[in-house]
Amino acid sequence: MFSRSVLRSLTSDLRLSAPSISTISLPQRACLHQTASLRNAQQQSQTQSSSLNPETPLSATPRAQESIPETSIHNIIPQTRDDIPLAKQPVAPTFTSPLEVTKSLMAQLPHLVGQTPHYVTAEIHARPFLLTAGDHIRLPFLMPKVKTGDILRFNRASALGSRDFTLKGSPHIDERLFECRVRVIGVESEPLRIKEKTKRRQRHTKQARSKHRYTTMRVMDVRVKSPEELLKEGAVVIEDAADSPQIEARS
Amino acid sequence: MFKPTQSLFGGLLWKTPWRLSSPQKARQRKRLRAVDRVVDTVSAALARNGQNTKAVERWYKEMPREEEMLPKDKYTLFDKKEKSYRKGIHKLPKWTRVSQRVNPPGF
Amino acid sequence: MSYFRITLLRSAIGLPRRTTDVLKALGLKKRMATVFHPVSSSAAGQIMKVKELVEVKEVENYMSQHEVWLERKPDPGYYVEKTVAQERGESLQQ
Repeated sequence: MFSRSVLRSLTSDLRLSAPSISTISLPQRACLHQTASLRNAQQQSQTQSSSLNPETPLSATPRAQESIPETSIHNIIPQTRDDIPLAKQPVAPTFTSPLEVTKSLMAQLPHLVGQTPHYVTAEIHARPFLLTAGDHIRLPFLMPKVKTGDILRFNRASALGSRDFTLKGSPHIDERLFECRVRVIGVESEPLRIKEKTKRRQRHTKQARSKHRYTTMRVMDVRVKSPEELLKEGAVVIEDAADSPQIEARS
Repeated sequence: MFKPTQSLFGGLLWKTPWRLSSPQKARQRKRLRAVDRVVDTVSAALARNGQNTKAVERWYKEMPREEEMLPKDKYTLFDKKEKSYRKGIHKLPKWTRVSQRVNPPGF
Repeated sequence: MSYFRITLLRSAIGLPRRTTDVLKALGLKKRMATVFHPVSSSAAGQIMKVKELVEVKEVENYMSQHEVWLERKPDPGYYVEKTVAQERGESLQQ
């Protein structure tokens, strides 16, 4: 232990005497691995003090990370294992605040609305499906609690576009900007698969059978709402922000 | 496609490269930083609760941080049997999961 | 009171027996498992033993395993707008 600390001071001396790294550049080096917004004044004074007396090795001053204890936002604490919050269940959403649309998006939206066939990248259980009106889709699973003929709404989209324009979400587009309706056509099933399960030193073979069922659906319509419609539904126009969604034209 | 190499032709010929490739070095730096972050988080949390631990203090006293380390110490370690007294850190058993940051002074 | 949120990212296969035992004491049985321990010097010492294998965050609240799972569960991305029965009822009314 003693030799190591001696070595530490030795190496730090060596590095400080090296011409490439001067003591002035120390705070800048600290900036490199810390986002500037997260540093508070106390840390700044720490780094300054360490640059003032270079005898103390840098590592001796512990640099606190952005580990301010996070408070998890949970309205309902789940009691049983089946408790799933409404946001993660397939139920129609209720909105508390009106839709906020930026000015630039309002200005660009008519271009996207005007060019008809629209596509949407809908995410079902975080898996993306690229959909256009009239498409048939076979989900890779059997959707529970739906019957043939039911109309579903897909409300998580990561991209929405036409031939020349695309509206990308970060990571999702607000579901009030578009309508994507889908009708359940029925249930398909794969051919029965039989897998022989053998164990060593046994003549008996077990057969594992599997025959999965998949829900099929047809996309009824993919529609982007026009600015007038949005305003009628109570959308609020706000000023542009840095990370506001933009419609990108095809280059 | 078959690419004739010595190991495919000659049977048993396993070679470990003598140095790390640049992606390996990048991953090594990432791991060093991850360990630094864990220690920082632990020490910050303890300081907030007015506690301390010997292990954390000892780490800060003895171990350099990733950005303070010389490239030589990041990717190589001391070996008395080598001519240059250095060998690649990937020769160290379980090198991705152990902390090896300091070497004897002068080497 | 705050907690350490510890996630095991790298397995301890092939590492000394002590390391495996520390992980067991922390309650980390497999990779990507997450456990919560109140911030204390003993928990900190245990984390320092396995600092190369875990990811640590300081959080304010304890979360059950179910809540940790709910965090990772994605949104379904769909909802039933109109069932067949509803549609038939509407058409009969007209």
